[in-house]
Amino acid sequence: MEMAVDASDPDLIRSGDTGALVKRHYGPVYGLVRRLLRDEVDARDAAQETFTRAIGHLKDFDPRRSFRTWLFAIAANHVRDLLRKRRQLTLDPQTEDQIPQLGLPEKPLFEREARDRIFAALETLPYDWKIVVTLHFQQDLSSPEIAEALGISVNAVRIRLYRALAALRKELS
Amino acid sequence: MTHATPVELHDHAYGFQLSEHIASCADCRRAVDAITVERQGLKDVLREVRVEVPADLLVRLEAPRAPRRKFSAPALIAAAVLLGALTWLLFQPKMHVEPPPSPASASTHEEDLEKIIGQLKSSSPLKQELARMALKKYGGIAVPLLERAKADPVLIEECRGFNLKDQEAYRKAQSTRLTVAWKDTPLPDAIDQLRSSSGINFHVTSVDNPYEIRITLKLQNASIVEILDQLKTLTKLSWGRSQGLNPPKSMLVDPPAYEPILVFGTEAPAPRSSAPVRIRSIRGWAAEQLRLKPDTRTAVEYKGLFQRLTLAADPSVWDYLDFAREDVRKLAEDSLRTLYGPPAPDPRYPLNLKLEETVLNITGDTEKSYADEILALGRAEVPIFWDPRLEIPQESITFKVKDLALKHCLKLLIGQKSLDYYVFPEWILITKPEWLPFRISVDTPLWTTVEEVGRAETVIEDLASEVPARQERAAVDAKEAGRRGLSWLVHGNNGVDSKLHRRFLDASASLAADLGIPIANRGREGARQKLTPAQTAILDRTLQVETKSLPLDALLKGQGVKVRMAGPVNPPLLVGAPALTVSNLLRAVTQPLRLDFYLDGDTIVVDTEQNVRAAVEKK
Repeated sequence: MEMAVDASDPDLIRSGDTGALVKRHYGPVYGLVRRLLRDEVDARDAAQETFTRAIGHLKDFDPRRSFRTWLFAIAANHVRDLLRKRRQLTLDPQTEDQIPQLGLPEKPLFEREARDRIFAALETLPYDWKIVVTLHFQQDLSSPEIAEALGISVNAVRIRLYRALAALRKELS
Repeated sequence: MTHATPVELHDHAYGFQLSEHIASCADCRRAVDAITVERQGLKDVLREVRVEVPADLLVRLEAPRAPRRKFSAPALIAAAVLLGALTWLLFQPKMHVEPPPSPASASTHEEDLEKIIGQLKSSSPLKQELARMALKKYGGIAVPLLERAKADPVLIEECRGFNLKDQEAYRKAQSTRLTVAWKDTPLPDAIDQLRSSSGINFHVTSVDNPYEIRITLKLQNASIVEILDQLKTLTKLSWGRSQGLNPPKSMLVDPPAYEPILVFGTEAPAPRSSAPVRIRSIRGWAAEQLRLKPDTRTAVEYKGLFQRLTLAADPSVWDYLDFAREDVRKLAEDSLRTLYGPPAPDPRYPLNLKLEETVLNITGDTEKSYADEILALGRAEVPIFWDPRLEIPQESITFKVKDLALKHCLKLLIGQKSLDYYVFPEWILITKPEWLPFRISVDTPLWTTVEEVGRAETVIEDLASEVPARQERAAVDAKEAGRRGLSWLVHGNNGVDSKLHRRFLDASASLAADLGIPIANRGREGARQKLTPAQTAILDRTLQVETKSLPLDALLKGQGVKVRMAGPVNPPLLVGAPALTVSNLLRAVTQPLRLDFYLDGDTIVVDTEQNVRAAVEKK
């Protein structure tokens, strides 16, 4: 049995169908930048800027990479620049590559009722933890994909993720 | 017994490092389950609602003339110089002025959708039914608004493109729990096990060498969705749900028997969205009509009103569902069904049936000319015309088919030359895909992608405006869009005020001529000539025609028909028609060439459309 599959990203890039590329990836990119910027208007602008940059530099895209991951990388860099200019960029205070003290989760913490509290807790995280959390939990990216998007090692992804989890649990406990 | 540390438990749960101890230890599994629950909880909380691409972004990215830029200092200086030059130009005669922005370009469908979503809350089952039909037709674009309105989740899923069967399959995948223990198992075998254990239809796609992907995973009492998520983490391959709107295109799958599929290797595509092209300029007028007293119009007049409101996708039609007159309420219901129901099928003529039902067997290894093969198809009582603008092929080919419908034979033969065909009521025209005739429909709303709607509405509003620069821009934008642009102009003509019809008709005719597209159902000027019975008999005479080289005049003269070619072209023809009237032969040949014909006594005169119009008016 065959399955109807839409054209792949490399196919769309080759055929110059940028409209289809934008349609396919706008939602995830918008979701990512909205979570990072917390403002719908800013997020719209940032998503637009991401696609404008991506389409403008399509010739630089390495087709062996994931287009989605490349878009996330552009979006992450743009948001980082934006926050830096606004002096709202907080980075990981721990520089050493050390696994944080991890306990086990208390089950009720992340239930739906705690939604607003979770969002508030997320806001307390440094940018480079928050983006790992968003890419993993919101965008379902695997650790190697996050590593590729952020230009860091898989182990760095793991450490940031665990630091973020520990911080979230502490904040929500 | 030493249990895993919290870090090892997290490494296992997040797929960084799988541990055999954890997989086999009940205590550790419980701890991992707690981490997995937390992980899933975070995913659920952070999952974003789907959003549509703003139409203006697509237009901006596609139209390099209006890019979003930030200007550097040198660019600002250059702009200042340019501004100075433009100021000077302002005082020059006949300068070009950038037309004012089009109001339609900034419009969205949110307001219309909100109105429809409001009908869901009505106590009227009819309004609810029509609203559901409408929202499903809009598809993905309606989802964020429905979510905001906390509408029925089943409807939201349907708008995402998942029909009831798809939803049922997904629920089954959420509720079916399995225990799996794979060690170095090839991915297809793992998927096969999921299929046979769950009864859910799976398919692996877009995966290179799936047998080389080995799975080692132990999970107890996990749902199919959780297992697929774990597989996704291990293999870095996505998985998705198939959508009823996009059933498999495989020849092996009969769509009615289509079973929903969970697809491993690719995500479900984003939900499809569509929207009607609206005629927004009549909204004020439409609102006024609602305020008129119920007895102001006759039933026939109301029918005309609704035809226009439907084509314009005007939301005021919903308000007529509460109108004082029952016959008007029924007309409003019919209009909404036309607007939001399935599109009207293309007309089918007896020739369509003949193409499908005539089965051909062409055998023999002898090479024949391509033109002869075309003529051979025409002998099956189907008049076939090669577009006279195309060169007649001279090469020889061997063409063999067995028990194949004429339609497929034709496709096979002309597909070699990347050509297509169009079925007229009395003949078939073989031509280039971009020259395929365009059929004007006067009673069908135009639905298309959301981004195209933005462009179409802008073109229509620009052409309807009284600003010459905007009208010019509409013509340019429609031409850029090619055949789609033609459909926008024709649609606009159906909905705008009658005093604008001539403008829209002229723009459509001019664009069709520029693109080389004949209008399939446009009347010809020569048909207005009053004919004597003898002249009618000349045109109604049935001929048997077959040629691969003769021009029109020689062909007709050979059949004893008097003809004078006054037009600028008289190309050789490739025509096979076992029985065709003179009139239809002339129409089939002259239409693509933008020629027409009339009768001067007993002589047929073929000339340009303008000359024929002038001659007929003189007579």
